[in-house]
Amino acid sequence: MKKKIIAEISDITKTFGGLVALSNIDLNIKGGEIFGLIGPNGAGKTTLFNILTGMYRPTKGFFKLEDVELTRLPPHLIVKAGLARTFQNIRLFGTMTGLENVMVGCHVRTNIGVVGAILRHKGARQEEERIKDRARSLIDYVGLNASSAQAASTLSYGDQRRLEIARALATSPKVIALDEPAAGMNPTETSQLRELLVKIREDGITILLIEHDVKLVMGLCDTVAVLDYGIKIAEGTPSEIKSNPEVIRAYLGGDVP
Amino acid sequence: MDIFLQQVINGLVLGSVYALVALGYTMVYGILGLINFAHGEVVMVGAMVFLTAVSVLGGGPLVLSNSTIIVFAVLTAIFVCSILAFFIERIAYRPLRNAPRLAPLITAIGMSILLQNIAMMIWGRQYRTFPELFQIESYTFAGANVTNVQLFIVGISIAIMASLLAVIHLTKVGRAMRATAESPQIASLMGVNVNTVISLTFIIGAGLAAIAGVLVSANYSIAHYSMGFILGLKAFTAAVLGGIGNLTGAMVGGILLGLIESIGAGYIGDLTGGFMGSHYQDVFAFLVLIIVLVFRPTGIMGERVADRS
Repeated sequence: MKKKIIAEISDITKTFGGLVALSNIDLNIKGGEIFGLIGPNGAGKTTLFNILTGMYRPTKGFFKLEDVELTRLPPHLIVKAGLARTFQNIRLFGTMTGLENVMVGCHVRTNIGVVGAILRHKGARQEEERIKDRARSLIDYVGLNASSAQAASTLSYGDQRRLEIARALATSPKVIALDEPAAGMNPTETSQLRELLVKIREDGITILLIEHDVKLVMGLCDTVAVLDYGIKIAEGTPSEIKSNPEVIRAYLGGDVP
Repeated sequence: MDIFLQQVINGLVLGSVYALVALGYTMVYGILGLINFAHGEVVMVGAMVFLTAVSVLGGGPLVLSNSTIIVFAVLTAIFVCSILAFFIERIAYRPLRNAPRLAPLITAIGMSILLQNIAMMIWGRQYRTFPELFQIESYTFAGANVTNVQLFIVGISIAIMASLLAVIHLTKVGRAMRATAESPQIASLMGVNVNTVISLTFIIGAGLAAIAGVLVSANYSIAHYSMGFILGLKAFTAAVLGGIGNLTGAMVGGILLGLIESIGAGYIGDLTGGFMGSHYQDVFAFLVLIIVLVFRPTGIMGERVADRS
């Protein structure tokens, strides 16, 4: 079955002064797949995420989601268009509760205006209830172990990672970009994460995944792209990537045997 | 007459006003890490617009009851101050959002001076007296006097602070503000329009300032173009005392500062054997500021350190 391309990344280049962080990156991500992005440290993976989500402006190139160009839009409009993300180093709203963190993610899909929300008329209160229900169901969906009523900063590491995913899902994304979601997880947590990612894919959300756990990436992804020093050196199915000599050289160093 | 109880009552009245103004400082600081030194001038504009609105409505062709005039004049003051604060942020702070900390501090001070001078041009240099819109009644309570105006000031301040806490903790607007206060960048990556939130913070702060301006000029029956300066500094002190960036802290700090000032003013004459009189009351606010900054820079309720990554 041939899937439709949902996200088109074309010719993205980013330089910081004289340093070329990303050079002419082209990626086509198909709807409903898990697209893995791997590469050694400093390859430019997170930089690419930062460009896609509007934190950085690319020096050159464009990014389209469902044929709508999002390059250079402010971050909140990119989220609204359907791209949400998590962070390599967890960036929750630490003093807010777990539930509130997810509720913030829901805001982008709400309609009541500022004045209405402050006056808390009937419609606003109903919407508030809907937000709360949705946030609760997302917290169940990602399988948070602790109470969602405690401050996010007091949650365990694994729960914080799950909460970040719930918060990103709350924005009702078409594509969710996960930056090393398995980092620092123990094997049990990693396998729970794998199940969660499969479930997200089954629910029709495309996943763009940066991950260092090669086993997880190879077992999970439909397509994998490899970055090295800001250049895409390979793209293909996991089995193609495993046997690609360029990739082996980038990861292990030295000459291709 | 019981001096102590009397000073406590005066302190609570003064403190409620400080608290309302301090909230404006603390909200802006919480989100932008900026001390909005023009905030005191917004209080002054609130008082002045109120007085102008009262004289226009009272002298107009329509015969309105005094309470109608008060309500409309207060709403006008809130409206004008909100617009003013919106433009202060757009003109003086937003272009410098990513500039070094010192730059917006300088524009804040510049804004404050500018607003004072504009106010002087519009409303003149003379003290303006507060119109007698209602009968001031005085009650004696355990040997201390309290007026209906004072009761009203404390009552309305408490009601407003409670509603503000409700907005911050129970609505999506408040949630977006708290998220932005923690990290504007992450909030925007979660779909929060940070510029809207910042504008809104200034607008809400200005609304509180406008009400505080009306209350303080009602209490002293006087308004002046320079009244916002010292009031603003004291409210800033209150915000620092409570822990800047912390809403409850601003309320507690405001009330506490009002009490310290009043009680201090009541007893300073006795303590110094008449050498210093009650007009030294301003000394206490700044003494408190210095003591807090030296011994507990995070304030009473502030646990968050000022710098953010």
